[in-house]
Amino acid sequence: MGFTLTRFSVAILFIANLVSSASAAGPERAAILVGGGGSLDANNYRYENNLRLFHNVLSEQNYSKNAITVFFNEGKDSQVRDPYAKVRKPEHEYQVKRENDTSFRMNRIRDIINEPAHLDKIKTEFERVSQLAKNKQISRVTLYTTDHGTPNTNEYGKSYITLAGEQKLTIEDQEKFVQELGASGTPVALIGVQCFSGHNMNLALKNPNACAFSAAAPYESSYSISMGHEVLKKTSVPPHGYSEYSLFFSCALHKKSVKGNQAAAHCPELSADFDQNGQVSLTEAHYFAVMNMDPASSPKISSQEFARSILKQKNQPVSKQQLGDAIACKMEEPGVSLGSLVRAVDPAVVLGLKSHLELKRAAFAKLLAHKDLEKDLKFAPKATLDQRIDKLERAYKKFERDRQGVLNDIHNALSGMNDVRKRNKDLRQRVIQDLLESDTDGNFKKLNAKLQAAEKALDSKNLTSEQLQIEQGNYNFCAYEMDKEVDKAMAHVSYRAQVDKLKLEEKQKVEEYNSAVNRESDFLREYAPVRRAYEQLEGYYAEAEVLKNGSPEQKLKLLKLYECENQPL
Amino acid sequence: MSAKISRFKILIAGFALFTIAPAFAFEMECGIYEVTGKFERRTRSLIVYPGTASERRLGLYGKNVLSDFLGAEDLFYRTKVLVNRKVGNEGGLVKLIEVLDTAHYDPMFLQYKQIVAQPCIR
Repeated sequence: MGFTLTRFSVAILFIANLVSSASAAGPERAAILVGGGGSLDANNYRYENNLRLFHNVLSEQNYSKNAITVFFNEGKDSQVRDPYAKVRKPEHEYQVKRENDTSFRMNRIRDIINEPAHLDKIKTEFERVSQLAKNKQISRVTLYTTDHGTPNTNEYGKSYITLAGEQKLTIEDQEKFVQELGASGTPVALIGVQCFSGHNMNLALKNPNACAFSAAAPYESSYSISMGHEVLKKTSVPPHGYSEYSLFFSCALHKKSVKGNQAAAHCPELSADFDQNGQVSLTEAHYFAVMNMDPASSPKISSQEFARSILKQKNQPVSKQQLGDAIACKMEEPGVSLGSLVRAVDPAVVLGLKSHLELKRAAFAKLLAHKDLEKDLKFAPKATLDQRIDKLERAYKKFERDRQGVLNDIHNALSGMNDVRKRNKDLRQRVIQDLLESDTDGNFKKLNAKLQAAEKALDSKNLTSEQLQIEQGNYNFCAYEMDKEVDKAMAHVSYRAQVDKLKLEEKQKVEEYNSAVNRESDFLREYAPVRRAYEQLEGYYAEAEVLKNGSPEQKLKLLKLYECENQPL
Repeated sequence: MSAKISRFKILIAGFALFTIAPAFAFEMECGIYEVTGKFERRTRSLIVYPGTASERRLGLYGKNVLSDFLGAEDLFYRTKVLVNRKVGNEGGLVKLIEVLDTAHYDPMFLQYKQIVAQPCIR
């Protein structure tokens, strides 16, 4: 235990050192920025903006151009998909021309692009940076990724980062890089803003030198900035021009004193320095994003995910009551209570925890003061933080209770609709059979035979694209004609009673379902600020619980994550 | 994960669908999948992630296309399909094995999942 505490102290002192030495860190930091984009059609212009903004804030933090390597789609000559570009061409989906036009233009970040986002190029850069770390030429690394995430449908936690074309950066590729940096004790911050980016949490949880920030859980989509975002009204951010998390994360790190760059034009005049220590850490950037994003989103940070994972292993829900006065009730005066959290006498540990949790408390207090939440919960003007938390917890419990009712309504409507669907299917199959058996002129049989032939061809033959389209055309023609015949037959008196009954039931069930869905939509939107604030509170409790009752190893791991997350860029 | 989904599941409905654009590469290797999508009778397509930047069309074929769907438009179905040829961002053609049930659309979560991997026919 003594040894562990000594390691604790070292970790905490390192946190304190980081805070004081960050601005002097200078050129020995390295940043790798990847904007894969996938195919041309998928290379949205927000990836370009995300990269430009993150590059801006790195430059503001005195990263030299050589310390930043940018990989973008097919390289300097990549085009981006921009709905506001002048050159337009129609967009085709599978055999169906869509109404929308799609526009492409040359990218506007040629000046910062180093290489195309090809797997071999990125792996080479990983090796180069690892070698620099081994030679002690760099002290820490940031890996920032923005593009399409490709889901690994067998295991979300192993989803991919989409590179140019059909190439992918796997979790194994990233882990190898993290471990090579770990061999030289070099910390790495992984920042993912793409769909399913939460896969990077596992890397941070497994490797002692990594921490992670993500726009979404491993199984969730991430989103572009919504139009008409209130915080951005005074800026010139274009519609869908950024990934939401990326914009706010980068803007949090933007130095307001710097003018003339894209960050100055697009970032809101809001401070992310929650602990008011004069600089913004990655943790603060994350919480800044959380509180400014659409409340429907669920961004992740590794320390909180780690704490949640420990509690999940124990199958232990955490509440204010279980934690007792040590943390929850004394959030007003964190300095008074935090000493009891780790039951340690080491003042460095207490100092470090106090500093970290004060920051999270400050961020959480800001979230509680969010005007949407104020409006929903109608806090008394002089309500204390504890009173606000009590009200939030009550509101969340009501949300969970009422939500179940709405979900039950949807489930019941769906179930009823599906029952109608099954009976409708039985009837249609019977009508098809009757038509085949009573087909005097043989036309329906011919159609059916042609449909089966097309199906067989589509099933098994090695077809060219043209043949594929011909066979699909054959299939669709036959299916259309057969549908017409079946519908005509179902209008016949022998089926009419059944058909009318089914149609009426279908109409009723669809109405019930639509009504339930609308209620759920209104309900979720109404409660989104409550849910977001409660998730943060729950995460805070989880961290406090691990610090209070976790094993020495768990506490140490959490401290290591804090150490990595609390660094500035 | 179901508990987690039920807790965090958020419906991006109505106006939000058109103001928030999820983005990920759409990729289906060959095999049997469960896919949730909106059925469009006119084109006999299953539209996956409709109303988002990730909207993709899967042209359907197979005898059950004639019988498994209800007449009402704009309904979502959970289906079992066979992907014989790899499907990419441009969409593709898949065989409907069967409709499993009517479904509730939630674009925050993955709308397709591979059940069995199979070699492509070309």
